[in-house]
Amino acid sequence: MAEVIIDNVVKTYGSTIAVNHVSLTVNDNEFVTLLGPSGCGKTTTLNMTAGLIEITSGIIRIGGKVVNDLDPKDRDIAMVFQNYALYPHKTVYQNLEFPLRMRGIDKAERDQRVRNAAEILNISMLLDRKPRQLSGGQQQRVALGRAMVRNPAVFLMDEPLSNLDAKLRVHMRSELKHLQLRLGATVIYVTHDQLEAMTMSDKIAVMSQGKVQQYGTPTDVFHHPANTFVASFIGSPPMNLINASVVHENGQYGLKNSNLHYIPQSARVQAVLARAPSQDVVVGIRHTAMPLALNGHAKENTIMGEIYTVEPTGDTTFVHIKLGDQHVISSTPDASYMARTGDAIALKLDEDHLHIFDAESTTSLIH
Amino acid sequence: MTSIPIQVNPAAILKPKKRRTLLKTTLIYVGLMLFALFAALPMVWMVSTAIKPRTAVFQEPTNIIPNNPTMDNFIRVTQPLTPSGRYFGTYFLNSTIVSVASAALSVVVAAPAAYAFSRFRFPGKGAAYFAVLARNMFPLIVFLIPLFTLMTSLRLTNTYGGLILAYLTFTLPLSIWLLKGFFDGIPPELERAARIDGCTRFGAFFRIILPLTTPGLAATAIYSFVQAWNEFPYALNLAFSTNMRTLPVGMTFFFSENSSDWTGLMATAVIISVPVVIIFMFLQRYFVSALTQGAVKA
Repeated sequence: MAEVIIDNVVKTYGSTIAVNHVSLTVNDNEFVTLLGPSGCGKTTTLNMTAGLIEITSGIIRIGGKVVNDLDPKDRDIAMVFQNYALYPHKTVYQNLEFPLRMRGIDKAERDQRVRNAAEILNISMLLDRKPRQLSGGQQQRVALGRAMVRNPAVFLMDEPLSNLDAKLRVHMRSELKHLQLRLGATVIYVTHDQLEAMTMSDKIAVMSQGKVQQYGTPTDVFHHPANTFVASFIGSPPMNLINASVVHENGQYGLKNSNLHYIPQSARVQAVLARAPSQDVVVGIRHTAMPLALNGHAKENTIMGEIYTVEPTGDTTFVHIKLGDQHVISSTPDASYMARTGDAIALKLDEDHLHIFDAESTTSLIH
Repeated sequence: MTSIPIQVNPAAILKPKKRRTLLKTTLIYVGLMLFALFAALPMVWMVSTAIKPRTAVFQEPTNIIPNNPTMDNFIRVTQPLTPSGRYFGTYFLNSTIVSVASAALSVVVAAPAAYAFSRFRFPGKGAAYFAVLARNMFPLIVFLIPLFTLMTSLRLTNTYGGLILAYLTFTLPLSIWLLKGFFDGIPPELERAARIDGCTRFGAFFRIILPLTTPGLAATAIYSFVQAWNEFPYALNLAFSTNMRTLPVGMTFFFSENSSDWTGLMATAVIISVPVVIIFMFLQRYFVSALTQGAVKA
């Protein structure tokens, strides 16, 4: 296993910039996810690491060696593709054996390694089948097996779970993580599914428009989003973002828009507002930090809105609320909560979990 | 409240629809039968004439099934010792050499070309692909004079090479188009996986992509073979010496040399058709899938 250093890498197609000065360090035995919407440059970054796409500028190192000009086959990597890319005319055994055969490994050792990988992945009984005779989950395992047999320095995975049905995906998620720990593998994993990224990764690189927006642990990107993009991309439902202006009245800073007038009580938020570079800010708050202020609770220092829809999901009920022309989501653990569209509702704000972003640069003002 | 049983006569509901379907089906079948007759009648006539004695050809009334069927015509046109069969072996050999070589070269050249059109981005790609397809917009005969001039100045008239080159001008464009359809249908991840697993780009093409394209390669080869096998005007003008003629050209000499030997002509026509029919019978499945794939995905 080895570390991967992606240093200031750029990829352009004509005048289009697909990947814009991306730098990432993936440590040995680390599971790193490139997360972002389609077209954000995550797959391009992965393919450049694999050597399938030439880089325009920058340096990629695998295990300390610059690999910019090496063919994919000479980079000591293995890749798992979204559509598995199993060779349809070869049996499972031949699929698993192919990378070993290409490297001139002798027959006895090939056989031993193929059977070993098949054992680990529980596909020993499928070795004589052709890929089209397998279910999606089985094909997925064969694809993993073909990557494993070589003991590569790095595993590259391009949305390997997105072709599986929802239930199997959850199952394979834990298996994949378990396998990574067991093999002590370095993994670079590409997905647009933030839940996959959160559950499996040691670190997440959130990407958008060819740039890394934030690179950190799952906890980090969830609790300390660097900008509004990360805030809205991580978490389900996404973080509520409310446009507001900073006002200064009676020696206190407050947040104001056409439907909102809120004076934060915490010294932390007051300090943040005091150093806001402009008065236009975006307030970020997750649904859990903005509970409903139901009957019997103090109505002081709440914000008022009206019910849009109520979505019971079993253990949590999500409540969509209109704050003037803005739309936010709150939640309540009360599974029997009911409300009518148009009802007035008060929301409390947990100021310890309040995020303030600069409206123009979208970066977080909390450090 | 008493419930009134609702009586429905299924026939009353089904009848109008059924009748319409039946009428439609009948019309479709009648139409198809007319087409089948249109296509099959010349063939039937050909076989019928081929097994008639020479004297029975113009007998009236015409019998589709001859009174005294005979294999004499086949023997006459293939026997080296008879005047009309003297060159049959040579013509047959020429046709085989030219057609097999055209088919083989078409596949060998078209496969990498089609792969490049399917996978790579390169300057002038659109124009080049259009140029390949544009060839099919013109009838063969349009290119005959330029080809003749070219072959004459290259001293390639009356050679296998010249005729094969001329045949490649029409077999290659369609082969490239057919095979591109096949390559487009293969996910590029397969060769990416192969390159990561240890293949070079060429190795991935050779070990993974080509084996998956076998039906396409077979269809392309058949198509090219049949085109070359049946071709007449180029063969007539580019390979005109007696020992270089192909079967379709050789057939025409049943008119001049033997004052319209219809039975000999038809017997030869039957013999020429046999390889094509056999090839189609075995490989038509590939051929149909190749044509439809190319059509949808090109």
